Amino acid sequence: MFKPVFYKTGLETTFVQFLKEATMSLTSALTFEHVMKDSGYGANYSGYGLAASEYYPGYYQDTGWRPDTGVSANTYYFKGNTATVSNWYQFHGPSLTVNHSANSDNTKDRSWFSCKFLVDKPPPECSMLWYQDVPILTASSFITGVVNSYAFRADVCVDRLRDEIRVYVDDKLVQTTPFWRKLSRQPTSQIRFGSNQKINLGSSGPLAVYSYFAIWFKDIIFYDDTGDDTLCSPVGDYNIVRLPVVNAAGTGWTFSGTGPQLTNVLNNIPFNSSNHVTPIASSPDGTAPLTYGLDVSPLADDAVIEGLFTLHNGAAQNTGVTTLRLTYKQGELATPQQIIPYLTPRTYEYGVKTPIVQKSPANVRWTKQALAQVSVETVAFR
Amino acid sequence: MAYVTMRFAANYAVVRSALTVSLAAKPSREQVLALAARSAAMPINDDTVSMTGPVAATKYTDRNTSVTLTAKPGSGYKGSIELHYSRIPLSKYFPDPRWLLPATATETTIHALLPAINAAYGVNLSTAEIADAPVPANATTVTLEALAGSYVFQEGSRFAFATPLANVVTKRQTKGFYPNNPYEDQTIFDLMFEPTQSGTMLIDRKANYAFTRYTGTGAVEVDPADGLQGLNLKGNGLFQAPYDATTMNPNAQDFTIEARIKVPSITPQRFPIFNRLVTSSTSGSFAFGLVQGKLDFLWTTNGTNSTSRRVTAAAALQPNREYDVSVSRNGSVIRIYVDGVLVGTATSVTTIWVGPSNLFIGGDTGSSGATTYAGTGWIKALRYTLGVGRYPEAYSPKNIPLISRVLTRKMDGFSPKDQAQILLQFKGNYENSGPLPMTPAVASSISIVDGAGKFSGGGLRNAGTVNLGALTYACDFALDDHYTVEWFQRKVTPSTNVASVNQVMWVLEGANGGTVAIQYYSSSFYIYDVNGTTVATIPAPWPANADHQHIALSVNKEDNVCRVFFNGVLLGQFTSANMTPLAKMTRLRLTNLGTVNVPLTAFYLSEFAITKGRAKYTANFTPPSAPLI
Repeated sequence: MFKPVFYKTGLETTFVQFLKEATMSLTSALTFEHVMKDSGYGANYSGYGLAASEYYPGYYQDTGWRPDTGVSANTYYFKGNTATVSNWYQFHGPSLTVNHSANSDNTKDRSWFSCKFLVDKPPPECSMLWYQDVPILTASSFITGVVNSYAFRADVCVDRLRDEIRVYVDDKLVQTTPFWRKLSRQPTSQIRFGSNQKINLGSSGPLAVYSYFAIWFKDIIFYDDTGDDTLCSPVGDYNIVRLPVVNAAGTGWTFSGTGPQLTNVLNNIPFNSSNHVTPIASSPDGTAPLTYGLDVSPLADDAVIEGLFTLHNGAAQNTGVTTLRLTYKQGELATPQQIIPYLTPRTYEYGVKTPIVQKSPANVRWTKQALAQVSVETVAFR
Repeated sequence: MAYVTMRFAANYAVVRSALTVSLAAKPSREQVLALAARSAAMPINDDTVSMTGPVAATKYTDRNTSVTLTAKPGSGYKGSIELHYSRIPLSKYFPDPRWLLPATATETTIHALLPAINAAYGVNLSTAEIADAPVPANATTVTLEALAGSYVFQEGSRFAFATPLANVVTKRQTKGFYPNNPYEDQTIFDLMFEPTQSGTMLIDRKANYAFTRYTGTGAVEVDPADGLQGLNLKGNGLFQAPYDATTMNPNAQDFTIEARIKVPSITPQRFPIFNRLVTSSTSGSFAFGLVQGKLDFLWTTNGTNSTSRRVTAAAALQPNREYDVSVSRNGSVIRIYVDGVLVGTATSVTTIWVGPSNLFIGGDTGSSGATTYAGTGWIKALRYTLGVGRYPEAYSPKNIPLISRVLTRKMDGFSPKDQAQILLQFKGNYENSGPLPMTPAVASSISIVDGAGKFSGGGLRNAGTVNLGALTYACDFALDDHYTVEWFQRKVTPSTNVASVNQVMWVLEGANGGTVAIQYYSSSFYIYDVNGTTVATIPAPWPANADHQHIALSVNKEDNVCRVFFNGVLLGQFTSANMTPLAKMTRLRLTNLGTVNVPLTAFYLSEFAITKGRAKYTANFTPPSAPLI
């Protein structure tokens, strides 16, 4: 009897990617570009379209799982400690917790997320963990022996039709995990990276070679099935590209010191707590707009752009709740305004996000040409 | 009062690749299998299925091809399925349509170039699916044509790569002078004031000099008036280049100094543009600038002020207006010009005597070294030509954006295609991540400091004392070729004063005792050739921070030109045939030289790479922003 192993429709849709891109609904994206290297023990990374945090249970806490030093574009962040780890306990590993349910549409047949990794000497048991510590991508399922600096992209499909999670590594299916009591529908489902058991790597013996292991995370995106007549398949490779600010102007915005212009200030992602200048708007009341354009030169002319989001870093001070209202304008056209709570009490808070905007003000897909015409207007309110 | 602060505003676009790099890197047949596997809930590969086709298909209007997959015995599956998809034109395939390869040196063929094309674009075209054709010498593009039977490409589809003008024409938002030809060889320096990392080092297109900030806060900035880069002198300091009598002294030669300037006021006594002048000079000088707003050139003829001469324009310039100003010596006549109009003439000019002192832009110094006459205003371009008086008569200034200068700018970074033979990342060990077998030997003073590397690895530190050892690697490596050495280095702490540090960075030891090495000492790089001779001394002030600095030595065996780069900026170049004689390199030594044992206390060294066969860097480039691998 023929075993129905293919979704014929899905297959054909995939192949049409050669001519026509598969559709997807992008919900969230995260990059670690803004993690300050002297941020100490800051453990929360927010404002990139989704929130992630270091996870540790408060005991058996190793010391090294911190943001990588140095900040530059296109770099992997958040690495493990490359010092010797003799006893690797559960959650000692790089445990980046991402709330999956907050970033996916659980009503769709399929949701996906993709993450780029760089691993170095991962122990065979090192896993991406689903809720309740179910391993869904174990190193031993796609890595043989000891590897140095192995980069890959993992596409994870939460398939609610089949009640299973499939993980593809660089487009190859490597692991399928049936759901246990349909946990994917639980609102608290999370993604973690670590182990589901205590593993003694030791300082000698066959496992000692893994005691210098490390994991880096790069960009992560979440996307859902669009609900049309085909099932969404992995979309392939992607990048999160920063578009610098150009021609910034801010009525009512001032900053201390001389030299840097407003454009420079807004492009100056701080490396640490002292190398930045802060523009200030006094008495925000909706009359102090900050506007700027986007430098689209990092994009290829024919780039397939899925969405645009903006991150503001700063603070509302001496006030209760302040909001920012952000609008992407393209000539006379404007996107729906994004009202963003803007209360970042700590001096070096990481930022405040806007949701991903998937279409231009003209309500068509973003293109490089459209982005070149966009001005971003931000108004502060009290 | 309520207020809001903003530290940065970052905007991100999420961009999707139509075809993933990893997919395109597979042979066509494997691409089809991989795509089939993408949404199948079973492994699809040669172990589980056989595939026949591709054949032309018409069942679906938008799918022109079909293949048939049949489950193999033992796979746990059975039966067949026909898959329909569309083969694509070649033109839709390449994410980067630019021609990325160097011009072909000699006549060749498409098939001979395919391996290089595959490596450059991350694809995997085979000779079975691409038509062969001759490629003429010096070609900077090729046209590919798909053959019948390809799994991915439409038969007969063609694609021609294009070399964008942007690759060969600089696009600098600065001002400059008309292209130098025919006086390129006589041009001593040509400052373009392009953006630099620190804003305090001036870029000489000729790469002869590095003017660095001597005092004050002057910097290369954008002039809000026109949005173009320029040197903004703020009345509190000047820039300095090292003394170099051999190439800089005018003596009795013709010469030209020309600049574009703008000053906010003509009240100050002086606006120095370019000079070798000590204010209370007793050793000779020349100076080009404004004196109370009037264009002025001063010089001495025998080394004392008593015989100084000058020529000064009668009228002052207007404030806040940009001018082209120049001084041109032609024989015994010196002429000065404003916007190409003659404003002053001196005759019977003899030898201009110049003593040993440094060259300055934007000011001069008194005999004690203190800054005097620091100018306030903009210098938008500055060029010095020796041996040619460009302007024997009035002229039309041809200040034009440098976009017109045809210069090849090859932006090269670390990437897998670089294939460095030696690649050290200090990721917990001293192993070479490159393909060259090397045996490390570690002195007790050597350590790897986790987190101190540029990217994923640690920083190498030699915390020993004098006469303690280095990190060495025994190897057997023929390096009689082009090569590039590059690495990252940072201070241990920002406050460390490394100007006085005597630090050997690396040594390539040859079979016959020859050594090629770089040392940092007294704010300069000292480069030693295989004879142990100092072949070049290149000033390199270290930034006052603990950031990683990218340093590169790029050696071209063909013309023996060796270039040193600091954060992608060409610091200097020299010509030596003694930098590439290492027919057999037997040892790499890091952090000291056999006879000069000075430990690497002030620095961390990381991400060290030697690439053989390529002088990777020939002009300014963007330092690598991704890990070495």
